[in-house]
Amino acid sequence: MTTMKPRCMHCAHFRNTPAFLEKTFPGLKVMSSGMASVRADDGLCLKRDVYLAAYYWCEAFEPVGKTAVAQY
Amino acid sequence: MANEKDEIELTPTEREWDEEADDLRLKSVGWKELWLKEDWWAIWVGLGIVIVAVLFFLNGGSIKWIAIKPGKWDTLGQAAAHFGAHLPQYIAMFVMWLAIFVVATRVMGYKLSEFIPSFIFVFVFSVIIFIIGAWSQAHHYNLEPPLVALLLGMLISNLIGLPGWMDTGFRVEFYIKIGIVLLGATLPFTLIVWAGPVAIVQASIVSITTFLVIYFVARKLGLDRRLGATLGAGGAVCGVSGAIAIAGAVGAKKEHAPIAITMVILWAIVMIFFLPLASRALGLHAGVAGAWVGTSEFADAAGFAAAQAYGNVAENLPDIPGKQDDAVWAFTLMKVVGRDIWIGIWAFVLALVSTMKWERKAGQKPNPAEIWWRFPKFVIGFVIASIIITLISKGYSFSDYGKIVKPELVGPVKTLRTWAFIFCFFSIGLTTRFRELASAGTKPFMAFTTGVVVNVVLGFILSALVFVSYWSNLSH
Repeated sequence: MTTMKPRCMHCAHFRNTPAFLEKTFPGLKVMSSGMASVRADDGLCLKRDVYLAAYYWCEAFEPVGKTAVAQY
Repeated sequence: MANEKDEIELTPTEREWDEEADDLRLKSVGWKELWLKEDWWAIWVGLGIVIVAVLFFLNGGSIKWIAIKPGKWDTLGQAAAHFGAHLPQYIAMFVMWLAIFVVATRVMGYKLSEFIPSFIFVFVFSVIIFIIGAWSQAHHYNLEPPLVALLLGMLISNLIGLPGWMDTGFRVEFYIKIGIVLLGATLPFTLIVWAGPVAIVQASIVSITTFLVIYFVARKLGLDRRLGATLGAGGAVCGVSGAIAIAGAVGAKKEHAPIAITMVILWAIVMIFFLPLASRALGLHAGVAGAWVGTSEFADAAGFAAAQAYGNVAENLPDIPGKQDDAVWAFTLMKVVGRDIWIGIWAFVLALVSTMKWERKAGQKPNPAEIWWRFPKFVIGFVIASIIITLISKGYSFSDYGKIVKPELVGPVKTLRTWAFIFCFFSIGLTTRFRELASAGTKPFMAFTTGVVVNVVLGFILSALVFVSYWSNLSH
């Protein structure tokens, strides 16, 4: 049986697509881009309101699908 | 009973995006970045153009027919006659760019129904900007194409306004990265080897000093450590890209990145105009000014605008020593080689500090692989393009290089690079909507501005005094 590591990239609270981030952070696309390599897979945690790397995790982790993402 | 969702106050952005939440989470891009990130597409596009140019050249031809630009003109009649004679070439070049961008943007997930009309808009205005810049009196009125593009774009976006969907075609970073890869083909690899270490030393001195100044002033003013680090990276490393990379690495609060972005954009735009004007007033050599801009400007796109503008001045005014290439080469060495490529290391070190010293409650040890994943990959294309052209040129004497390689191979690539830069500069103006920028607050402004002052003064001392012999002799 395979178990999924509880990382942000698998978390229901995490959002990290380029379009989402460019919309959330006005000005990001003026002199950079959501599609730049330097951004790696970083994204926004809507639960804690922090911007962080996709490989982090925390006690608030909730796997995608188990809890309704629509809580936000 | 009201459900939980109803009790939570949502921002419009979150509410809107919540409806498509499953589409808003990419598990891990990994090697899919080869076709999902702009950096790699800049390599494919830029190197593709260089390779096609080389193949034509090796078979006795040239891509110069399609790499067309307005010639110098004194009267509008001359400008009109030029377009009358070369219209098929402009149409062919437009079709070439459009075809390239359609493939790239489609694979990256943009809507072509938005991109195509938007790019047509960018191209048409870029032609107009190029024509203005080709006027024989343009330099006397500071009508340098980068500055005209920026101002025109800002006037349109802030006074007239454009529909939001048109932003799809205003891809500042994509255009500038393609331009940088093409620039590699005009920069001898031997020059990168000769001046690269000096650039790294100078840039490191300024970057580390600027970061520490901004960070410690921010802390002194009572700002959060993560905001201090995000502001510091924005001012010291690579502008908005540096700020967003460090914000992610240290786990910054949601509002930190927009504050740093606002600071970088405002000061970068000021520097686009200030650095060329100050350099002109001081009569700096083009290479020295390029190095200064590379040290003290915050974003690649903004820096290229300033360096290219001053390069144009040097090229056209006899009292300014140096050539356009000097300014652009020095800037590129300083910014791309000296500053940009180290962002992964900055991010890793600050992530370590954040995890081990700042007691972040959540998270784990940072992953060293992030140094690679955050590496600005377009630099690889820039170096490869430089190596290719240097190897091709190796078999020619200096005289033959000037008579054959330059006009048939390097010149056309340089022309296409200039077009990519104009698309970029115009897009900066079109996307800089001041009313949309986050309010930064007095303390972040003070911290960042202190760093700007230190950066500009230190950059000038190192470029114009300490390392002046390097930056004024690049052409040799």
